[in-house]
Amino acid sequence: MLLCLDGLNKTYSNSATQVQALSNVSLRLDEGEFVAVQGPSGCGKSTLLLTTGTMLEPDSGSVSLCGKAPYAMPGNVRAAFRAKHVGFIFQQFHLVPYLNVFENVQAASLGISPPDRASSSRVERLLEQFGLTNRKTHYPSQLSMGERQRCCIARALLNQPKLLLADEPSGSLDESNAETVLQELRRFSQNGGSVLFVTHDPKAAQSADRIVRMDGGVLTS
Amino acid sequence: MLGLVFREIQFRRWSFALATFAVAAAAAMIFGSEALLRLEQLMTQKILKEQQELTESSIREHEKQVAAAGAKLQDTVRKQMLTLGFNILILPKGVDFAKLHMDSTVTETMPYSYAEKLANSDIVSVNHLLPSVTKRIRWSEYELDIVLNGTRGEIPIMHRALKQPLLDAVAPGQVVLGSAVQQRLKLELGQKVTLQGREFTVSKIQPERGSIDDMSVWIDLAAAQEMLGMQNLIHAILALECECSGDRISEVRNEIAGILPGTQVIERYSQALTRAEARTESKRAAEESLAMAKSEGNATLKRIHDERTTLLNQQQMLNNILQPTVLVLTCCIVAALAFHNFRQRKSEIGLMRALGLGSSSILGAFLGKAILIGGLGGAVGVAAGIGIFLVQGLGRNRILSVTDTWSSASLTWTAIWVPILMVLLTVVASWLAAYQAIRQDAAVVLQGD
Repeated sequence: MLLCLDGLNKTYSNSATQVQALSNVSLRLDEGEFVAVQGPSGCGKSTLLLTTGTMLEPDSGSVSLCGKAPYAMPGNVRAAFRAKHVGFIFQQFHLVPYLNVFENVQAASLGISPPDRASSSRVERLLEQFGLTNRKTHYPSQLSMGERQRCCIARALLNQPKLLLADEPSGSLDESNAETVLQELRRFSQNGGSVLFVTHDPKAAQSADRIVRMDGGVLTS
Repeated sequence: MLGLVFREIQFRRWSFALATFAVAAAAAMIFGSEALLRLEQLMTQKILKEQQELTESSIREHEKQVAAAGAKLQDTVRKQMLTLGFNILILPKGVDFAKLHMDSTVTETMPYSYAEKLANSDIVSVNHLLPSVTKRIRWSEYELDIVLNGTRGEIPIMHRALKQPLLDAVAPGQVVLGSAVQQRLKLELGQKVTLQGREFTVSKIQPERGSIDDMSVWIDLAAAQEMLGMQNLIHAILALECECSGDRISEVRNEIAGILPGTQVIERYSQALTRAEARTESKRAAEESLAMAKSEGNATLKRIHDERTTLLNQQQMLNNILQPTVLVLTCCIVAALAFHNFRQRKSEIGLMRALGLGSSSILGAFLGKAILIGGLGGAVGVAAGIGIFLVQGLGRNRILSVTDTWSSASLTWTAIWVPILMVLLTVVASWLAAYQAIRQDAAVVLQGD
């Protein structure tokens, strides 16, 4: 088993209100599994992804990834662990505006210590794989939405992670680009990686091996 | 990571340029104000030194004038004693003083040996002895009444060291004319004249004295004695620089009477004393002038010193206000720009966190940029400050060479510490933004989408 979430709880508080983003959430994900998370806005899907990706510590419950408990690690060790084992794909891409396509993809290796000398050749392969070779010196502002998302996926895959976490990966894309992105995620899972992705799109969710639904911070199926 | 810093700077170049410009302006102001203050201090030193030299030069000049006045006084008094008689006149007893005062003619004679006797005595109150014959005669060749004086050089006093003579002797064959005689007869220097059948050459013409001397003629004593039929006789012995003023005159009279019986002593001093006192007054005035010059010089020095000190204090006070103000303003500008930069980069910071970068890397990205801003701004500012220093300082005042002023004002050290200060300032100013960046919850940013 690659991922084991057990009894996760997470509450966001401010002076006026409290929002239960995760409520006793438990989920298991095997290697090569391609799982979609569906639910209405504000149901805790993104919180689930960030908690799974070791970015957001839960109030209670445990997370086990690759047999390790990342939240038991010191911050810098957990960051290195995250860089090595988890890839993120965002709906808004989060490409660095002052880096070109090649550099944006290569930026994923910044968190790897010691520095990965082979990353440049892997970047080239990924750019070729995602049809971005002729765009590698272009900046994000010069790319189409589909190209930006492909760049984002390439960046997520650079460190050969075990787990891909995608938050609405096709949400900003047209049908054709959305299909391409889902194909790439599928390919990753077919190669042994696990994918947990959040989507509103039922069609996109249908491409997953398994669909889990969330509502009010609770996994309902 | 440094590459990322440079790429980010390149991407947001105007923000970087604005922050760098603010730092450069502050550095230029601080370096410039420090340099100009040092320049003013050097200028003060130079002005005071020049004024000191001027004062000392003026005092030296006054001292010279005082010394010259003193020397002139001494010389004048000495010579006036000769012509006007701050001295005593030794005359034979029975001289008709009426004739003496009316036409300077002495009616009685005494042996020439008296002069030698006096010179060979152990007299202590007389310094110079001049035996003479004096008689009013008619210069028959020119039909003019004159007073003929026969004189010789001073007779050395045996027991004294040889003193500088007060009157040069008239050489045999030469004649010295009083001014009125010369004017009446239109005689020139070097002209041959005949006096009572003897030929003389005019060797000197006395300046106008306003006395019987103006109608006098001086020749060698021996010639005069022969001319007047007074071989080995003289009319008077003039004793000069006598210590005979005041109540000691009676002692001198007694001393001379003991050596030269049958003589009498009269003193001549009043006019000389008046002139001597005038000269003494002149010397005193010069000394007062010297004291005043010293006093005025010192007062001028103090005034300039006080003015310059006030100016420097005002400039220092301005610097004390301006520099912290500029530093605080610059700090605020850099902090505002750093915070704006942090807000622009929130998403990027969230991504970096997601990619596994730790707090130190994110802190390094922000503070690295701050160090670059501080270092570059500081260097550019110091360069501009040097420009200000050269244009406003040396260009205007031109008090020293560039290198001399640079080293004298210790500007090398200032040129080092100002950029360091700017780096520290930008790091401190950017710290809050950097701290916000590392404290930012990446999950919140990434969730915000």
